[in-house]
Amino acid sequence: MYLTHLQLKNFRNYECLHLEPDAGLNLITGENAQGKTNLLEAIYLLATGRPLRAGREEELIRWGAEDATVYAHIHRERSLEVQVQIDLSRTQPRVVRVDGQTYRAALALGQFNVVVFSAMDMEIVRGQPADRRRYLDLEISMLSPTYVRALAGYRRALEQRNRLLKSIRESGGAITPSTIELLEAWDEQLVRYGSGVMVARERFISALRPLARQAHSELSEGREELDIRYAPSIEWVSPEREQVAECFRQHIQRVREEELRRGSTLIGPQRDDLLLFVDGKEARTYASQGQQRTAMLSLKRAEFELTLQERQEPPIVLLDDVMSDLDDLRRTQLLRMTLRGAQAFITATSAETFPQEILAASRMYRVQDGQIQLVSRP
Amino acid sequence: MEYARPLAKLIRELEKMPGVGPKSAQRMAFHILRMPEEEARTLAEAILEVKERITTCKQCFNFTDEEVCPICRNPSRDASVLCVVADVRDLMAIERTQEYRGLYHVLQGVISPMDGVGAEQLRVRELLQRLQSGHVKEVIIAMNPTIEGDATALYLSRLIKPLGIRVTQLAHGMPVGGDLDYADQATLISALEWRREL
Ligand SMILES: Nc1ncnc2c1ncn2[C@@H]1O[C@H](COP(=O)(O)OP(=O)(O)OP(=O)(O)O)[C@@H](O)[C@H]1O
Ligand SMILES: [Mg+2]
Ligand SMILES: [Zn+2]
Repeated sequence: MYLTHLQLKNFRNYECLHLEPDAGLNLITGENAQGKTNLLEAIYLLATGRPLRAGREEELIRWGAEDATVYAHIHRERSLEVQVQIDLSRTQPRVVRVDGQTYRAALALGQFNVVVFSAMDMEIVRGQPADRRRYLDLEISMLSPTYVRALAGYRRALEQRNRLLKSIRESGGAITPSTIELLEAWDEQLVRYGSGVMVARERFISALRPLARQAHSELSEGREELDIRYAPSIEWVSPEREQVAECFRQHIQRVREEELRRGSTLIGPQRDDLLLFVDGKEARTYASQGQQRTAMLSLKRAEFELTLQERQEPPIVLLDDVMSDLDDLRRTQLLRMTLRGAQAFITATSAETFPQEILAASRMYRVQDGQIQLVSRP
Repeated sequence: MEYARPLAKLIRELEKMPGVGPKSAQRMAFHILRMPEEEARTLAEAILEVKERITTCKQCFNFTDEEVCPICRNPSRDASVLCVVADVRDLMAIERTQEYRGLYHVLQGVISPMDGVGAEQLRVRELLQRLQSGHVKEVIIAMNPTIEGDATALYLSRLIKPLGIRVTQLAHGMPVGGDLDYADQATLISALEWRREL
């Protein structure tokens, strides 16, 4: 899959942009704060529905403008071409259009896949469990629209249930059978959506695991071993939906008293984590910076391979300013991935860090103050 | 310049209506301004009359201008089946099918802790009282397929089943005559989830 057209109107610092990128390598250079990351963010937004950086959606709209539009035409080998457009406004909820048809935002995405790698991704290895859950959610959402629905349902059920537990606690009175019936009705919503979320996470991580292991072994030339593991807050024997649901249900029963006392939900996917081990030790605490970076890179490689498996075509690769941080071996590995028929958008402040073969194969752009200029074609 | 006060006031009031923004409020106000006096008076009176005359049926909580609504008073309706809906709009939707011959019970909302709505805020107690009479053999729960609707349906079924009454729920899924191609994903996913044996 690759973008044949990208159009931005009042998106970040782009007033108006029309790009017809190469189906292969696109190298985007420019000084700091000119709009390199913003360009990748637009592509990322169309793929995932989310901004690349934390913050309010409104921040995506160019200062002084009322609304913004991001549009792309995507060529797909295994399915029909598709046009995705997102209209953002300061006063109204966003509108997502797929081939001109309006969709409820959460369900329309996943039309094409991206693998992004930027400095912020190190948070997946170094950061909090919440960072890793966000990562999991995004990756799985891109591969499965049912996941988006389960996740949205789960969040809603969790919020409602927490409010209920809180109000029971605050009322301080005796807990009547009718209160328990009510709580159990919400337990069931939590279980129904939550088991879907956990099963999807389990499947995703098991599929990613051998690929990450393989990639890491290559990147470290066989010197290190990477393992990734799902750490859910409950245990189950086999990851079947009904099994997981039943274990979840039983576990809820066991923590009932404690939840009532604390006034909030104590178990479920909101407590999940993804653990990374380098040579058997947790990467977050024990791995060196270099090892963490290699682990991250392996994870990205694995995502790439997994998407390739599932979609039967490579995802679009977005590399934001990461080349200069890598040594030659890792840089070559990363580029090798992009050379395997994938479309790639690679940003850097200067083209100097790139091997000659890459430069020769790339379409090169220069960004300055929200304006983009084609410098050369391969 | 601003609108003359009475006009500004009308616009402000109209803006409070659901789904009416400043622009449509303005358009409606201008329309009212151009109406013949007679028509405007009829409109104003209709609004007041609704407030004065419409109450809820003391049995099913449908809107009515009498003590008991026409559906509950209709002797040809089947009093052994009760359809529980969240609000009167849903009741009307089912009535329009002209297929359903039982009675209704309007809950006046769905359970939503976030909005401070629990069983006490709804007509749950009244429902259980109606069921105590023993006439009802089946309760059909017809909630919207939202998380709150599902939780409400489940809660009610847990309360009703111990009374020995059959509890059913509307199926969620594909619109009839709908094309698989055009069904939105949420509907399709739900239809899959609620699939049944052939
Ligand atoms: N909503 C917005 N409207 C206008 N300009 C914006 C908006 N949001 C961000 N910017 C501007 O965009 C610029 C940042 O662009 P971007 O992050 O793409 O830079 P970059 O080229 O990637 O730089 P670096 O090399 O430092 O990473 C900043 O100058 C910022 O002020
Ligand atoms: Mg940048
Ligand atoms: Zn009635």
